[in-house]
Amino acid sequence: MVIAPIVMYGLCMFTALLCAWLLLQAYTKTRYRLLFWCSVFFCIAAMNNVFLVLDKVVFADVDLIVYRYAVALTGLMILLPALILEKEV
Amino acid sequence: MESEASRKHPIEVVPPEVQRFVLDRIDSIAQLEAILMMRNSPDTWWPSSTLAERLYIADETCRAELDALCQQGLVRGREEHIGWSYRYAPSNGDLREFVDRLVYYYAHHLVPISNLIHGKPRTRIHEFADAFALKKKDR
Amino acid sequence: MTPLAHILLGAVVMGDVIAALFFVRFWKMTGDRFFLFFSASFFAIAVSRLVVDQSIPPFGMEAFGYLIRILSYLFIIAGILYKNRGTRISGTLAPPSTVFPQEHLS
Repeated sequence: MVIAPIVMYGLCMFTALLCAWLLLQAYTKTRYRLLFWCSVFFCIAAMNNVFLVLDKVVFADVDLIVYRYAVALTGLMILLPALILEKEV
Repeated sequence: MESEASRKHPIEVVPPEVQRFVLDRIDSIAQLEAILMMRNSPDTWWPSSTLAERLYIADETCRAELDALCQQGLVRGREEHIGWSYRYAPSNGDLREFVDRLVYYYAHHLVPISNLIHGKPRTRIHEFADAFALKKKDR
Repeated sequence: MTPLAHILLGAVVMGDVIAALFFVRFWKMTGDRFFLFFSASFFAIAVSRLVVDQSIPPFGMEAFGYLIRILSYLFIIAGILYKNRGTRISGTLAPPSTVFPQEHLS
């Protein structure tokens, strides 16, 4: 089942980058700050996806799970404050 | 002797379906006034700059308000060489009827209708969803 | 997995759940079901992280966990398709027989 990881990687990259792009476009038009932070979140999600591949394929002997979780948490610590403080904009 | 109407809570004099129409379709007083203005000459294409001037709002704000009315099926827009123009064009008979009733109630009960509009929670989170609308909706 | 990894897993899962709940709230605020798709996506990611982790039950279902992850991305794509259902590419001048836009509350 070599296809499944490729599907997952491709789908994640496509979806995350699409969201990041659409939100960034909308931010440039409306200047609604929440959209910018959501875009950053999806960029980080896409980046984490790269780390997933690095973890499983390139550095298969080492477990990078701590770094991947740390990156995911960083993304959420950007997204969540933006969502919580949304009423400011 | 007090009349029935004055002893009622002001918002009770407006029928619930008209209230619902206002809450669902109208976001601001500017939008309401724009509809009234355009409805008075329904065959005219109003340039958005003209409407902005009459409504005492900025051009960009006017565009945004009228686009929202297009989304609600109350108004149609088209792009001309001078910019966007809009026309009163409810997309079905029900909407037309609701607007007619709203005009009556706004004329006779301005404060309750205004309060209804001002009481709507103003957030921008719908812009998040709008970011994912890939194609412009038909105007 | 080290204890640190487990602490981070807990934090990340909690964060995903909170994000999911925010999107539920946005759905309630606006009536736009589009937000529910994002909510489902974040819930699914949270579940997939728990399923993939082999030190907590369910055990031995790592592959299934990754399937749930794929599902979470499909939720977002489904949401985007939902958002764009029924729209046509419009020209600059709308023809007289234009189909009018969708209901605002969908």
